[in-house]
Amino acid sequence: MKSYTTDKIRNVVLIGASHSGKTMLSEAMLFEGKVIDRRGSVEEKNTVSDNTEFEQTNQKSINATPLYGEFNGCKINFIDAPGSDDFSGGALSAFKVVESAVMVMNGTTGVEVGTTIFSRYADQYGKPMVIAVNQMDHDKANWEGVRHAIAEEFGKKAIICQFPVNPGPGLEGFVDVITMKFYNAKNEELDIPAAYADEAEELRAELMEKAAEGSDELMEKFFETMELTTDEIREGLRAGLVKCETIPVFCVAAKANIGVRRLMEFIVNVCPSPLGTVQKTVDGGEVRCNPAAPTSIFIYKTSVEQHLGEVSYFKVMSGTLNEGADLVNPETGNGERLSAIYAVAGSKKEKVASISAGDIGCVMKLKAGKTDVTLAAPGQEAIEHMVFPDAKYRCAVKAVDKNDEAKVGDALNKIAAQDPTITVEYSKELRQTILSGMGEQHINYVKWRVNNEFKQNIELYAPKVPYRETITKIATAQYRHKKQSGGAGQFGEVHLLVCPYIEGQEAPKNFKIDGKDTVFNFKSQDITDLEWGGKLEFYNCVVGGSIDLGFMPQVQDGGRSAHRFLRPRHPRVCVRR
Amino acid sequence: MHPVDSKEIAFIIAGRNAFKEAFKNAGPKILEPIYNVDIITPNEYVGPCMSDLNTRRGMIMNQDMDKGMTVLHARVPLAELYRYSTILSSLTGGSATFQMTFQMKFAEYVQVPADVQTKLIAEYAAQEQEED
Ligand SMILES: Nc1nc2c(ncn2[C@@H]2O[C@H](COP(=O)(O)OP(=O)(O)O)[C@@H](O)[C@H]2O)c(=O)[nH]1
Ligand SMILES: [Mg+2]
Repeated sequence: MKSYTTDKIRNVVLIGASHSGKTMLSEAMLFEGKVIDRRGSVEEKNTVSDNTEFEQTNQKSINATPLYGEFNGCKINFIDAPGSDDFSGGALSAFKVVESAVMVMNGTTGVEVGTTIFSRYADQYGKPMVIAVNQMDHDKANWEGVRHAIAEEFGKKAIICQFPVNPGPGLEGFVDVITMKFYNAKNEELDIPAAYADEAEELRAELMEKAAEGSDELMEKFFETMELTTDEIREGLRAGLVKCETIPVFCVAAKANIGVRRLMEFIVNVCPSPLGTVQKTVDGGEVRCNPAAPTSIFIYKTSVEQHLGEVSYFKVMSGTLNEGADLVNPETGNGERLSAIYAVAGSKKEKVASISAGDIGCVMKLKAGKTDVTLAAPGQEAIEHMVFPDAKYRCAVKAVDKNDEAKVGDALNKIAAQDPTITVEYSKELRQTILSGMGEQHINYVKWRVNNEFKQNIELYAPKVPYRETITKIATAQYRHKKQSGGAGQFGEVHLLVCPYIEGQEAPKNFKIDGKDTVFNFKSQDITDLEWGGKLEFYNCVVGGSIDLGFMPQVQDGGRSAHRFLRPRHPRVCVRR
Repeated sequence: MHPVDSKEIAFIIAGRNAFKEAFKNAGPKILEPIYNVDIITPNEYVGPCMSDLNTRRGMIMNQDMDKGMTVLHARVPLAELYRYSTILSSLTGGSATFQMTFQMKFAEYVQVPADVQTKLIAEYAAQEQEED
């Protein structure tokens, strides 16, 4: 396989609701991109993208699979992301390495919950979006409905670039108002049928106006001549796209492979290339995507794959990665030789000699770093880490068989190292291992993996709540500990008083104990800030020389350890004899 | 660990027991962590979200709008938040999302209602017995 220069690379992620057809679109793009010569289908469980057992049995994507295709001399890397919010980690990691997103919409239903969720994410992560309205060949295809839903959801940002001719099982093709051509069901480029010429002209006028908003120059030209050339329209769309102000709308029928070629052509012609894009570094610097700069690659995903073991996916953020390169992890100083590097289309990996800035590839069995790390030529700064939403689902986890605890811990840690949206933490206070992720399905998938990949059984249950305890009135107590059983005898007697602490108020010294007014004489005090925000004030009020003051810490420790589950909030403890 | 001096252990035990005893008589009250929960939901689901929050002892502090969605700012005891993402999702057809935040400071802990306290103490006693 040849190496592509940075300007000949496009990186996109396919996002959208579940069942909109992202995986089928990927399959068609692989076919059009000459990576496969026969298209599989989700139903036959033979797509390149859904290649794990779990994905095939459930007929849904769980992993964001990196794929590519070649089109008009360009390499389009596209990542097929899962549509469920529980697995949004895949799409969000992909945002780190792509320049734009293709929002796939189901042409029978229009804007779905998943559409909104993922367009919100694209917005948050600042990624330009192109809409592909899919399933235009479906018997329930509803172009007019979808078109209105798009206008309602995305307002004036959305701009129609295509419309279908005879949507439904008899789909004839799409009229494209950028090229002003008709693309039939065999993907042939023809003249627009006369019956659709008026509609095309009308949309073309709207498109020109939108494209003109891309830059002042285009706007001037447009006002003067009321006309933009096709190339100027592309330029204007690209400018609007990059600023996330324009969302071009396309149509496809992925399963029948209609319109996919034209969508890829648009990606190549208009979507931004990685050349010149900037990544911030952890030290506040910048890494520019420049093939002549020192090499820096960022690992955005790690997975364990059949027959291969651990595979790390990366984007070359700058410079050129040659096979055999010696790179270091700037954050740990660990070095590593990347002896073999690959281009990826799902489980198909092709060895390559070099990968240019902006391109995506993979490497096996890395030691110097897992997901979310930079490997670079010596002296480079680490690229800023990926950001994910906070976990939304927490539960406690344990091995069904206590003897497997260590193996289960190991399995969970491995999964967490691969999936940055999973965390596994042992809580000393709760004495439970807490597993958190993006949702219940996500956590159940972890359980499935522990069971199927690591052959261990785990149980998930409600985590304990870290309760605290406070006191509301004054109380006293005394305790005498006496033990004589050979060796040195044990004797200790403690008298103490506890009273509620009131923020900003000095500790009282006068108390009525058993009806008697008693004045405390503070010998020393010790104030401990408790890790949850509370405070423990401890006053030593020992009278005379009745005990060795050296034992105070022991008394205090005893007091503190008395409340393992329910901890005192702001108590004041006065010890006296 | 170095062997504990017999006198030291005596004071640890005495301190511990005296403290336990005093605490028991000092009107102890259980506090629970209260999380700040921001729920982002399409307007049509505001009602169901609110009544669900009521069943979780949640308090709605205020409400505003963001990009056409309603944002409910609520305070909800952590004890009532187990599986909340799943519940919110089924309540709203998957269209709502939420964020939870908690700061480790004592103002974020609030006394539990009396019935919850009774239940917790019973549970804790049972658990202690089991562990001993
Ligand atoms: N009629 C029709 N069905 C499609 C099309 N694209 C996908 N499908 C079907 O829609 C379902 C979901 O497709 P899939 O690619 O798995 O969706 P994803 O969840 O977005 O990846 C599958 O049953 C596909 O066969 C299409 O263009 N036309
Ligand atoms: Mg899929």
